Amino acid sequence: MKSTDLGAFEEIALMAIGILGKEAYGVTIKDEIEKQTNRRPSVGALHSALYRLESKGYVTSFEAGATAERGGRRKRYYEMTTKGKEALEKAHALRSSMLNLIPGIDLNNS
Amino acid sequence: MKTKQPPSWPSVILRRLCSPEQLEILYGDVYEVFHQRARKGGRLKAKLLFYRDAFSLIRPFALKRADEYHSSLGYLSMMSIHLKTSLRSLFKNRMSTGINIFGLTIGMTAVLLIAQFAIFELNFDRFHENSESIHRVSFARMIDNQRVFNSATVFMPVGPELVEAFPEVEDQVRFYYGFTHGEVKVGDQTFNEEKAVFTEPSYFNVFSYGLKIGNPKTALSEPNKVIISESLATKYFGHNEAIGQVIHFSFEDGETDLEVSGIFEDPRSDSHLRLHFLMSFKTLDQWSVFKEGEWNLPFYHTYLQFNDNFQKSDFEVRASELIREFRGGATEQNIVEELELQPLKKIHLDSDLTFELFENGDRQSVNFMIGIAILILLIAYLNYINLATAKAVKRAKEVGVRKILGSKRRQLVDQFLTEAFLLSFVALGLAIILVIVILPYFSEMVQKPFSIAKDPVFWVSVVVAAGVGGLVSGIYPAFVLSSYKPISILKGSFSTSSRGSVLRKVLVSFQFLISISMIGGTMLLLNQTNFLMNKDLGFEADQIMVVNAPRTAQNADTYLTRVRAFAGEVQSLSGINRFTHSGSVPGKVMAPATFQNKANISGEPSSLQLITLDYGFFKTFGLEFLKGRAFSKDHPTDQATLIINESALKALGFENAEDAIKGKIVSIGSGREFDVLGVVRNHHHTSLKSSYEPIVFALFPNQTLYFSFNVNTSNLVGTVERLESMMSRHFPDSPFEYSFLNQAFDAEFKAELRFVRVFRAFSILSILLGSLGLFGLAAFMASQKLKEISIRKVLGARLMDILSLLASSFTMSLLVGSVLACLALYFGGRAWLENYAFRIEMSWRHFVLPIAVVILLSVLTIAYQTIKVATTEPTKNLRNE
Repeated sequence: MKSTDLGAFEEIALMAIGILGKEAYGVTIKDEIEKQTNRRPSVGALHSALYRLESKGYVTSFEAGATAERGGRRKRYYEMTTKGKEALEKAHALRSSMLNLIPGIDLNNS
Repeated sequence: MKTKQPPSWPSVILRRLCSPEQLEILYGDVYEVFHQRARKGGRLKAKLLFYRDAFSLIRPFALKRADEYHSSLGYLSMMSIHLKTSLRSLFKNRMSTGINIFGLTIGMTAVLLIAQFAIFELNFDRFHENSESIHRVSFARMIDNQRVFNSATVFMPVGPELVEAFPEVEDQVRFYYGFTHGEVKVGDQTFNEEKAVFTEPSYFNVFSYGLKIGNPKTALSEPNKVIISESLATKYFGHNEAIGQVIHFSFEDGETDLEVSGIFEDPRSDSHLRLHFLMSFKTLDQWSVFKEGEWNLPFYHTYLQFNDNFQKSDFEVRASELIREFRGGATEQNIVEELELQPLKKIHLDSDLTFELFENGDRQSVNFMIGIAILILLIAYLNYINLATAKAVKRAKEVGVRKILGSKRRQLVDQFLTEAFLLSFVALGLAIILVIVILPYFSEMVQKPFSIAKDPVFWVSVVVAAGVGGLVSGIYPAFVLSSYKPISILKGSFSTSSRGSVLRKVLVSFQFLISISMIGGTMLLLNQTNFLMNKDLGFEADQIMVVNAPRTAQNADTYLTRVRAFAGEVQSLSGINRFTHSGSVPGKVMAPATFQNKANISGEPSSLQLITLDYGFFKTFGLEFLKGRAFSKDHPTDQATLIINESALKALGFENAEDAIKGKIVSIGSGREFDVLGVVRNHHHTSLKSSYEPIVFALFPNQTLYFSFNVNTSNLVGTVERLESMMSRHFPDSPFEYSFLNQAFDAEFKAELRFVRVFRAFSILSILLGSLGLFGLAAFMASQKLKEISIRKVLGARLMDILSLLASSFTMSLLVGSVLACLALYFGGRAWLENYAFRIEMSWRHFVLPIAVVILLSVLTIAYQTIKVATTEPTKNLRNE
């Protein structure tokens, strides 16, 4: 099975985008990650991951929706692509198949 | 509710660095997150996190691409063009580039050299692991709130008692050295050891010292053990095994055999404890005198190591109470005795107490040197600013053409800043090479054994400092030059901006201020030092030769008989005029003693210094009697009398010498009464810097530490040889090491003279740099006024007229600089001179001479330029338009 080039933090960000559906932009993604993982990434770190995800073709983006709170700046919304979805599935499959090979860990039992 | 906006300044930086389209989205998120956090609570926390988020945006993907910088060229290729044109323009203006690089190099070299010195001095004793928590206990005795005695040493039991009584004291270590040299006999060789010290095994716990050979736990735990440094081991035993050897040690208080139980590496030069010879403390137990005097003799250097619960002021108060308990009723009401703490790291630069183990450094001179270095560097950078703005006219055309070809102002600023940086870093490189070459000589000049700092932090900060220097000195010329309007330049209607010339005048007066102050300061320093060196010592120093008195036989009853026998014979030696022996000689420590005037017995006792001596002391040293007479063999009752000096007379409260001769004084320690036999004129005993000490002279020939010979200076070699053979006949075991008193006093000024030399060298540098700047400035002025001068010449102006024309532009600066320098000299000089008990008066010379020197130099540099211009044919300058 071919491995994917999805980093650990990228994977989390990608999943957050998937969870959020149409509402995924910088701030909501950051909130989702905080809610799910308790990690508090800086805005820069998050966007760095989003930039990589986009250049790998796992997400697409469009810009819209400036608000006063943002000082009139636009948001960039992200959407998971089919390629992104496949990458997530691949990563998960790879992980569970390998975990199952470790003695003492049985995913099906948990 | 109105929510507060996040700070705006980070966006200024981010806008410079980040690509605008990325930044809009990213910064929007950062803003939103900020408001979200601010709503949730913690305005401050939101603000702090805002900074984190904002600066986290500086990431490769978000940065501006090269083509988003400036107009169309990439940033880096622009840099390389700046660099190329900078080099071209620097090579084109060889003179000003030369002046700038030379000046900056010299300035940076001075700063770097002094930094090495300062780093060495400021980092004493930091290598100990516990250096933060080690303090030395010092002892102060106050009479009526006046500090009459303040020693680096305390009573023997203080250390252990403090460990016992205070949980915050982790450990303690004591040192005892007999205040004079010890004599070490190895086989049939004898050596003098100046600092032979007794100490405890905790020495290895408190300080980060170890043993190279031997066990630190046991090496000092038994009596009669000694550990020595590697160099001493070689000196004593050559290449033979030193451990286990037995040597014989004798000093003022006794003598004993010692077994070598350890060897350690030679002490570091950046420690205030540079000890080579350490004996076990228990060795002292065999002499009862130490036990008996334990609460009377404050002679023990004591270091405490604290744990974290320690508070200094509180501890000092409680520790002082503790010793008062032990010292008991011995203290009078108006006498207060206190223990104080000195942090280990501060001892070297800040401590100058009685009984310091080694001569310490001086924070004032370190600060002084740092100040000088900064001033020199400042002069060098001011030169750069001056020359760069003066050059503006020459470069105006370049700026005009560049602007027309589409240069933005930013690019021009970058261009000129690049030049400044380039100069700064070239100078730094040259300076570092120079420092490496000069450092050994400089180290010798200031007599401090330091090597080049290896700390990377230091070198990084040096490079950063050079960058900041380049930026600060480049920024003004850069903005002036880039502000010119191309049309006016190219039309030819452009002339020097008055703005620039005002600033130039301010900077020039600042340089005059520094130069004049430096010359004046050097003069003051030189005069004061000369004054002290040539001051009458109050005794004959030139002919006195001093030999350490033999120790070995000291305790024997026959000692005095033997010394007297030696004295009888030595008088007959040709070349020796007189001989005496005593417990102290000028330049050496005296014994503290407390006396009281019997006529005023209810008054306060006076702390005096005691010299024990034999007949012939006053004649040998040539001390002059104001009243009364010297001790004499013809009057057996002289044993019960004392001789005092003028200063003691005042301290004891006598009206005059007449009054004193009739009076009686009482020794507070023993209660014995003494008649005053005579009063002698004051002499400088320990130092020329402090005021006269009150001294009591007592006829007590058994207490002998020094043999003093008043010698004929002709055929000195022969005399010394004969004396040596006579000494070795009478005292076969003692080494013969002699010194001359005037040498000892000259040695006191070594530090001062060193300082004078360094100061003089640096002030010459500053004057040199200052005139160099003036030279460059005058050259530009002359070239600017080339046509004016030529026309004046055609109309019949003389050389002097032209000279005054050029010089007049500097007169205002000179005037302002001189006035400020006089003020600085007056107040600075007065404050400095107050350190000395005997000092010169400041006179008009200290102000007028420096100004005259600076005027002379300025006129010379300007004259050179003027003559160059004025002697060329006027037609040559006027012909080409």
